[in-house]
Amino acid sequence: MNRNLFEIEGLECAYGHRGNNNRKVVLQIEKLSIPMGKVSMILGLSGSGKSTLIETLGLMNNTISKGSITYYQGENSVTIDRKIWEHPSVLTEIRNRNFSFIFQQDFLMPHYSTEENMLIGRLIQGSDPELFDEKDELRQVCQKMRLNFDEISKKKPFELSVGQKQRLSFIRAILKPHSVIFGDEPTGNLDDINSELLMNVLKESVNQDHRRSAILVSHNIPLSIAKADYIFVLSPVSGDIFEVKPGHVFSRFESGWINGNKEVLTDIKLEEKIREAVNFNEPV
Amino acid sequence: MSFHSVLIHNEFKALKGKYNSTIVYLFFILFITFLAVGFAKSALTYQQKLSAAPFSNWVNLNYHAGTRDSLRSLKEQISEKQFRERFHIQGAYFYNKGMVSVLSVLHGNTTVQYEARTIDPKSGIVKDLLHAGVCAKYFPDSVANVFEYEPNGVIISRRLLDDIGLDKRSVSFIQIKSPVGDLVPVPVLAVVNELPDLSDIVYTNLFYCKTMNTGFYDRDNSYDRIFVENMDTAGILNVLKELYAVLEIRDPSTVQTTVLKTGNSAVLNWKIEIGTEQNDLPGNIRKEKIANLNALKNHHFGQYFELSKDSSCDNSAFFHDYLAIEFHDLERIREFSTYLKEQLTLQLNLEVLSDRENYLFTGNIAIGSIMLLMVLSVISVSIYISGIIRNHLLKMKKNLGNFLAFGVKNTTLIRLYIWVTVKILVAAIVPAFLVATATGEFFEKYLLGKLLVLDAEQDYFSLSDSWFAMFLLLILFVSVSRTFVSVKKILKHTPGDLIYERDS
Repeated sequence: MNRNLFEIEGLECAYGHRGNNNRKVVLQIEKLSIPMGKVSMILGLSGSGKSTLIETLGLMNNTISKGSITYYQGENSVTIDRKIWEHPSVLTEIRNRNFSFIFQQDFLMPHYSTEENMLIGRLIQGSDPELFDEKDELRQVCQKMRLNFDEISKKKPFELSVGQKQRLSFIRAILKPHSVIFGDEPTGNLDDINSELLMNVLKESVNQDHRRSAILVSHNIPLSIAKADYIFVLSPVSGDIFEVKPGHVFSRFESGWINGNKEVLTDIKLEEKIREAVNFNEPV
Repeated sequence: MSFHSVLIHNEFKALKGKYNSTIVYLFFILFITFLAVGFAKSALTYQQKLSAAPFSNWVNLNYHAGTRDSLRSLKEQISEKQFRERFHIQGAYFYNKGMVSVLSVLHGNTTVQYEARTIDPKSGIVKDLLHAGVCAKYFPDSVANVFEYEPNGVIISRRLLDDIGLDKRSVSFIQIKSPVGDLVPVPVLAVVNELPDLSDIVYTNLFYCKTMNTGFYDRDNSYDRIFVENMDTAGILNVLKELYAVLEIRDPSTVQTTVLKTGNSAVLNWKIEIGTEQNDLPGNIRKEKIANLNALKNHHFGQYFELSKDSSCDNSAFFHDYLAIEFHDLERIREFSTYLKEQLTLQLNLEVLSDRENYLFTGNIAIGSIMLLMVLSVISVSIYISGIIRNHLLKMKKNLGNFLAFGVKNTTLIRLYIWVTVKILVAAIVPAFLVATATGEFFEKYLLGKLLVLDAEQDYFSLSDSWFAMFLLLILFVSVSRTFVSVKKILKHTPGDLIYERDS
């Protein structure tokens, strides 16, 4: 069985209308493998294409102008390239069965109850909450996320704080049966304690089921170093184009990290390397 | 719980607005439209009914000394096929008008004058009269020409029947006052809603002629004759028993009882003839005693006279009043009017034509107004509801992107929002229909009747016709179509574009 989740080959992502010469290339990745059953973090400056990479992998947008991505589902694989977008039902099916998402904004449905919002991912997939002990499961996961289910279940999102809503959107993502959870700065609206809490629950979820993986975009280098299994850094190539260079792939190794050049790094050294990789000594 | 039920339930709640404002607004648009459509459509139906009246293709020319020769000449010309075809004429008939005194139960058994006119039994108007608007007819269906069946019969208006207090289920005779004061029972052939020239009685030229001459009925004094309407055999036996007693009849063979064929075949009408030669009581006492018979109370009865069976009449002593011309259609009537003026110096009264043209004009205006009203209503309802949904979805764009990213199909979302649209429309249509119906009926029953003289058989407010059903379907179809387009337009974007608000 392939231990990789995604294998990227000669990928070029661009925005703008197809067939238009002015399509703007924003991301190039010659070759990259994202492992299965791990928490992978993508770091880079603002505008470096982190969200583009998440969108492309999560089939949220048709940005591929060249190359392809192979998505492995156990023994089976799906090639993600420009052509797959000609088959909307295939895209919907893959998203529905395999992917879950959490974004910097909560995107909770404002008129739905908290309970309905938490369960909506599961309902979309067609699960019938009557068939499992929904309330107990919700209570448990709420407890883990330091939320009182009985207190909030009937409330509407506008009655909750920003942090509570963000945690709810995470619960919604984690409750939906999935093989990959994509996060675009999921801790952006959370304080340090809740950010760590969210990452811990996510890691626990991935560790419990090795068929599950997480790919997250973050600006938080220390949190990424603390919680990620893999870190991919997007570095500028020329102009506005970014790429993941082979030396800028970092993986957790026993008590430390190794980079693409097999160098062993401490957390402090890794942070320096990341800052160096994004090419600017500015906060990323 | 399913995604579908959760979405429909919550989106309906969100879209119906605070305090149900969306539904209330739609309710008012629809209520006002339903009310207007209900009244306008009924008015149009009434207008069409009036314009399709059987006498609207007839015009009358006054017959007097000054026009007599021209009219006779015109009647001869009309007898030529070519002339008739040129002006789309079907036929021409002389007729008379006059006042007839009829006994009215409701007026304390006194006579009341009603307008009567003659018709030619062969003219198309007889068929027209008996084709539509017949309340009751008293002759077999197999009869082709009703006046051949009963030449002395009359067709009366429902207004007359009501006015004299008789019942259309049992009436067989009306009693008209003869020049010498007898109340002569004349057989009723039919009761209709309306008669030409606003008359209340119609009879043949022959009958009219006979009534103008003496002896159109038998005044033989050797019998007391009475007719009794709507009485069973047991009843008539009681009448006879009482008659024998009060008139002191010693010999029953002097009394003859006959079932009359005239009138409603569902009831029995009788003629009783009492020989008077052997009776010692004076004639006026006998009549008074007969009139006060207990067994005849609550029955229409009266003195019976045999009407003349003559099939011809000398009408040289009097003029006709009018020449009536019947047209197939009124397309050539203005040309005909010019012809009459230039060739025969006759003036055609085009009032009928003007009425017909007015009917058509106002009818077309009514149709146009209803259509406009319906179109405006459909447009406003569909724009309003699709606008509400569009604005709601634009606010929820990112959430919709999130749904799509989670694997909801575009078609599922479109279908669910169409459901929500239909649910909102139904929530507004049903109460609007019920309240409009109740209001319309209330207006018709309690207010309209006080302001106008209403036709009892006409429905002045109605929402139960195919127009209204089509109108509802149109509202649903257009609103659903607009919602479909709005939702599809928003969902044509990728989940990423919706979430990150890109306009690609």
